[in-house]
Amino acid sequence: MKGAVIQVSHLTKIYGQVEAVRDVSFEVGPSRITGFLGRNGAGKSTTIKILLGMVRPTSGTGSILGHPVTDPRENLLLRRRVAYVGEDKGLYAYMTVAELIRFTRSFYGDWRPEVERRLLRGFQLPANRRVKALSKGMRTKLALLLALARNPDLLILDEPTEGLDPVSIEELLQTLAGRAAEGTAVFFSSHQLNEVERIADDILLIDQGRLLLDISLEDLRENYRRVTLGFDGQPREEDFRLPGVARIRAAGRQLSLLTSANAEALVDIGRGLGAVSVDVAAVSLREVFLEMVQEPK
Amino acid sequence: MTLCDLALCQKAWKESRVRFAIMVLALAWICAAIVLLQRIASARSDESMSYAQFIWKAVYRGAVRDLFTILAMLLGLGGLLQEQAKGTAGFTLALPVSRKRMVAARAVVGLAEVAFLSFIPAILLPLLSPLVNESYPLGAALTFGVLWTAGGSILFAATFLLSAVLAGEYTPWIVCTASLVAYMLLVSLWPLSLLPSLNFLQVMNGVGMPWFREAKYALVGPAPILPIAVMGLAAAFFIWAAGAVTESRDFS
Repeated sequence: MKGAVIQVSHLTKIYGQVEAVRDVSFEVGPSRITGFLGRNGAGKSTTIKILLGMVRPTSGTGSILGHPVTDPRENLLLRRRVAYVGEDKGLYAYMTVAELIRFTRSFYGDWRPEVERRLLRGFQLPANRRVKALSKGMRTKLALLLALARNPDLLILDEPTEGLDPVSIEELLQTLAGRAAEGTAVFFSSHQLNEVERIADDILLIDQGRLLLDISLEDLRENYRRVTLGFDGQPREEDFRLPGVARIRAAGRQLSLLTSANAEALVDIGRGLGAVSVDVAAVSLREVFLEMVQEPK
Repeated sequence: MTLCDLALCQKAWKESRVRFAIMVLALAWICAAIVLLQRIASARSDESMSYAQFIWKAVYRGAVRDLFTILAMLLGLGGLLQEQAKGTAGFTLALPVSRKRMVAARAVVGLAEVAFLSFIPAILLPLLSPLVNESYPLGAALTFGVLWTAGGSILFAATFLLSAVLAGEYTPWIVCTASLVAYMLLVSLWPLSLLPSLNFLQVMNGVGMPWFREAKYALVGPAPILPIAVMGLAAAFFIWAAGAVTESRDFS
C-alpha cells in the first residue's frame, strides 16, 4: 500500500514458550479507521506495544509513518506523531487532572488548547481532582482527552470505550469518525463489535497471535455469506472445501459454511449431493468474528 | 534542559514528594531530639563525653546515619518497572522521549533529594546547638554533609539499579539492604579490611580516615575529594547501568 500509515511484516513475539504474536503482516492506510479485533489475550495489545516500541519483536519488522518501530530513535520520532490510549488507561494517580494535562501538553507541539477546553467541559472532568479519585469511566475520558487534544497523524486506541457510558461512547465514535474525515488514521481495538461495525473502514481479526482476517468492512458485507445445507444423510465436509470457505461446521445432517467467495458454487455442490434445504444469508461482523475465533466443538 | 526534561523532573518530584517530606521530617525530628535531649542522654551515659563526641556518636555514626542509609535506599525505589505494576508504564513509554532521559530525570531528582537529606544535620546541628548552650562548627557539619551526599548517592543508585531489574514495590530495597549488609561483612574481613576506604559507611563518618581527628571527633582539613569522587563514580555507574537495563527491556 502506498503511503501506508502502519506497515507490519511477519511480526512475531515469543515469551518463553508462548507465541503471543505469530507471523502477523498487515497495512493500515491513511485516513482509515481500522478495527483491531480479537479475544482477550489474542495478541492485540502486544502488537500495539511492539508498534510503540514498548516491546521488541522476536522477528519481523514494522513501521509507522515510515519510521521503523524497532529503532529507538525512529520510534521516538513516530511517537511525536501518534496519540495512544492504552488498554489499562493507567494515568499518574498522584497528579490532578489539570496537572496531568499540563504535563502531557509539554511534550507535544500539536496540542490544541481549544479542543482540550471543549473536551474538559464535554467530559465534565474536574480539573482539580486527583486522578486517583476519578472513577474508571472518568479516567478513560481523561486518557481520551490527552490523546484527542492533539492533532496526530495516527490515533492508536486500545479498548477506548471500556468503562464509558452510552452517551460518551456515542460522542467518542462521532469524534473518531470526524478525526478520520480530517485525515487522521485511527487504529483501535475493541470487543464491542457493534461499535466497530459502525465506524470502521477496515477490520483486522487476530486470534492466538495469528491474523485471521484483513478486510474492509465493505468487502466483508458484500462477499461474506453463510451457506446452510440440509441433507438426508451425513454430509462430507471435504466436498465443500473451495477457495474462500473460511469455516465448515457440521451438526448432524446440516452443514453450515462461512465463505467469502463461491457461495453459488457451494449451493450447486450441495444440490448436486442431494441437499434437501439450501439457505444463503448475509452475515454480520459478529457472526464472522465468532465463526473465526471459536474452536469447533 | 528542555521543557520535556523539566516535565519529567516534575513528574519524578511529584511521585516522590510525599515520601520525601516524611523523610525530611523524620530526619529533622531525630536530629532535633538528639540535640535538645543531649544533656539527659549524656547524664545517663556511663562515659563522659564532649558535645562533639556525643553528636558524632549519635548522628554521624549512630541512629541518624542508620536512618539516613535506609532513607537513601528508599529514595531509589520507583521507575518504569514499578510503573508497569501500577499500570502507568504504557502512558509514560508512549511519550516522545527516550527511556534514558526518563531514567536521567528520575536520577537527577532522586540525587537532589539525597543531597537535601544529607545536609539536614549540617543545617540543624549548628542552628540548634546554641539552644543547649553548645556550638557545632558549620564547616565540619557541611563536610559531613558532602560525605553523606556521596555515600547516600551510592545507596540511592544501588536501589535505583535494582528497581530497574526487580519487580515488586519494596523488593529492590530489601535486596539492597541485604546486599549492603553482605558488602559490609565482606569488607570487614581480611585482606579487604586493610583497605578501610572500601567501607563507605566508615568514609561517611570518618572512622580510620586521615581527615578525621578521633581525639576531637572532628573533621580536619579540606573535604576528601578522592573518596567523594570514587563514590560519585560508583553511583554514576549504577545509574548508567539502570539506564541500559531500562533501555533494553520489554514493558509488556
